[in-house]
Amino acid sequence: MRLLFFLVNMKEGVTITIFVNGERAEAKVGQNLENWLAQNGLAAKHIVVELNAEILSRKDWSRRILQQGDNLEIVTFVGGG
Amino acid sequence: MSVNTWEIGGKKLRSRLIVGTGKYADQSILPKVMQAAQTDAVTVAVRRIGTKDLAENIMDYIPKDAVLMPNTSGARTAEEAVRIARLARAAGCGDWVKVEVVRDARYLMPDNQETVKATKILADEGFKVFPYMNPDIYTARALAEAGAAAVMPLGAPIGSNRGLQTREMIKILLAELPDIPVIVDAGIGRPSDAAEAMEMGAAGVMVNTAIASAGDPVKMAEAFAHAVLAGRMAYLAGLGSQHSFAKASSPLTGFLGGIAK
Repeated sequence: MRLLFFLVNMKEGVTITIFVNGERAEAKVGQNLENWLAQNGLAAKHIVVELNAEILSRKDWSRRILQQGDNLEIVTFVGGG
Repeated sequence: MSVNTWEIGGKKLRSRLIVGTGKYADQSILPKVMQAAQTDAVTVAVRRIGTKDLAENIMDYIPKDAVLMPNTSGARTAEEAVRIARLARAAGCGDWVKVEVVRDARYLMPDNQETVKATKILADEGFKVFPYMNPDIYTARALAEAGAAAVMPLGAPIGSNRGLQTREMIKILLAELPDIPVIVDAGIGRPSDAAEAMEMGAAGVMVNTAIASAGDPVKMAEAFAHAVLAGRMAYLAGLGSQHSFAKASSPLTGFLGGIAK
């Protein structure tokens, strides 16, 4: 049963649920972080990404495949005193 | 402007005024504000990216060679401050951090104990730590021992514009800890407050609200630049002492016939 579920999810186009800044979001199965960020217009800018409480440097973004339930915090600088 | 140049946190700055970037209705004036303030260093905060940050980001308005001091505002504990500091450093804009740990929403008072804890951890990780604190000599000593680059006592609550309400405590700090730079941060409401802090011997001041909420922020930034310079020059020139009674400016002898005596 689990094998069947696994095989079904290997199909291209199937989406997984991830959490981004506290909100539900979707990613494609096998999609890497860099790709997801680019798709959502977040590739540029001064952003820092924390994935499951771990800060991921930009050079690792393309290598990291998003998983079901991943928790992303995407932060940037804003005005402050 | 050589009296104003300053080595702090491993950097050489041309001004003892550090400017905050919060509360600007129009962030596009920031480059002019920084130029008027003659400052190289600004603070920023770290927040989740919002949809408006995609169009316009504060970093678009901060010169590439500016020295950035991200703050850990939002942190309620040392752990949260450390997390925010690490995120800020990961942006690749330097290793300065203002540790700001606050647990009360009304006065935004810094938690001195958590601030010391965060400072120790971050200094050990190579950050140049600028802790925002409630002026207290024991905390200041602990921060210095923890490796802080300076201590930043508040003058009055953040954004209150009430000036140096804590002046007596800051003076004690300056007297007891001559070896650690003291940067007065928070509550400075007018250029005269900044001048006063510098006259007392502060190494620098940080100003946000007083400039951002001024009628003309660019002109106010310029006023602050002059005030910080004046205060520093006065301090170096050696202020005269104060007295309870008058001391005449001219001799009390040699008056014309029939006058005085």
